[in-house]
Amino acid sequence: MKKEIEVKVCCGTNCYIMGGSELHLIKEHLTEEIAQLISLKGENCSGNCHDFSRTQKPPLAWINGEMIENASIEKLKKEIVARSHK
Amino acid sequence: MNSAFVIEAENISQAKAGEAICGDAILFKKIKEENRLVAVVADGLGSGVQANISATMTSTMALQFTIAGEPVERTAEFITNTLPLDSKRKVSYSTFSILDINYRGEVKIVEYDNPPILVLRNGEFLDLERQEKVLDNLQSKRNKVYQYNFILEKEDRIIMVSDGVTQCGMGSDDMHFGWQLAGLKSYIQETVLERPHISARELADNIINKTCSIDNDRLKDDASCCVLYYRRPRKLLIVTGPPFHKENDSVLASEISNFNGKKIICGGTTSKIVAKNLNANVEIDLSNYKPGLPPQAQMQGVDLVTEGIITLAKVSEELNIIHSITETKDSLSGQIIRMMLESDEINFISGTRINNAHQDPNLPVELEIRRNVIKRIAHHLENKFLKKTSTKYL
Repeated sequence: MKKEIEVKVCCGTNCYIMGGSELHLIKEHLTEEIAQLISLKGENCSGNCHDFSRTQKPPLAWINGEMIENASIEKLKKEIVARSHK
Repeated sequence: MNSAFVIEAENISQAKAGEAICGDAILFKKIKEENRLVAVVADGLGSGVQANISATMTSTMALQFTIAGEPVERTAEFITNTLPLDSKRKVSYSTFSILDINYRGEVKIVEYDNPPILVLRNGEFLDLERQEKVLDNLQSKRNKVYQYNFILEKEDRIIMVSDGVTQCGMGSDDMHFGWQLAGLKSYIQETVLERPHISARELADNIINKTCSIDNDRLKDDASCCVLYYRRPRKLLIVTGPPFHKENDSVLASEISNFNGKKIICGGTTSKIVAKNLNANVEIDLSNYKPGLPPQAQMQGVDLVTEGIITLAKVSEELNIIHSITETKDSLSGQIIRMMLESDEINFISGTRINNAHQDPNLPVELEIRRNVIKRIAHHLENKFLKKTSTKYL
């Protein structure tokens, strides 16, 4: 039994308009085998995008707690596939 | 009129089978300065375009004359003289009922050839005293109008229908003369007994649906129904944006928990603040996420939680286009609009803290200032949908 991968995507306004609107559909871009492992959750704005001392590039997502900035389907897919082999 | 109560007025019309437009017309007008409501139901002779024109002319004239305070003789005379002659029947004719409710709750009704008006109070129909008036100047044999007066009481329902409703099913084996007033009356009583808080819209909807089903979905005449329901107002609270001063976070939270009515929070950060102060959880719900708008969230004690400015901008855009609740979409913005239109009073609380992230010139779309969007939404609700609104800034 492979380990579950927790994916969180930011649903805040900023991340949403910067491309986050597609990230909720990540499962559709994965093979069924990998998609099964994923628990997908939405997250309210974490504040990381507009606190200027730690500004990160939206959209933001988290895989097993690790923040991914400037997230895209491609980027998430790569990270998830890499983790699914562990 | 007791200002703690409101009148919910709704109407539905259905055209005769095979006709594109309905030959009945129903008009409402709220006169805000006088706290007065005037409603007119008119049924034009025949069906289709010709009937629609007669009915529309009649209802418009009746409404304007009544608002201006003209006596009923003059109104009726003027209408009959103005209506165009039917080319085959060589008469000009349209029925009408006029209902006028003033600020003290005094109801005046004038009825000309329409089925009698029904007033439901505590599950029973009022036996209204009817005054007959003969209009001498009317060049028609049907020259009698009936007048009724009564005082509105809370939880009263007033139902006006066109004869397409009372005569549906006419000639069928089980009802030779149709549904008739008695059938309609017992149907209304049963429906209200089953659902004592049924809204005016739903009751009107039910009556017309029943009419259609009695006629086997092929109406033999235009059927219209107008329902007025005098009841406690339904209130809605919409909260959007974090308060300018952090100290007001708890004020915002208590405004929400103390509010008596439905509640919507538009804003991710706002919902987080409220949840923290109320010891509740917000969870974003991706289960029925539809692209187009950010997903909704769940929070105990709040009816709907959504993202802020994108969703509100969409609400404002759609409110600008639609004319009735039936045109709303099956989306988050549509859901918000439905909740707005099902309420009588919409209260906005807008936080005024600036979201730094929204000021980035590199954003691909323009994000408007919350305050302006709220102003526009409130404007539509007040002017197009006759709702009462209030806005508070924190």
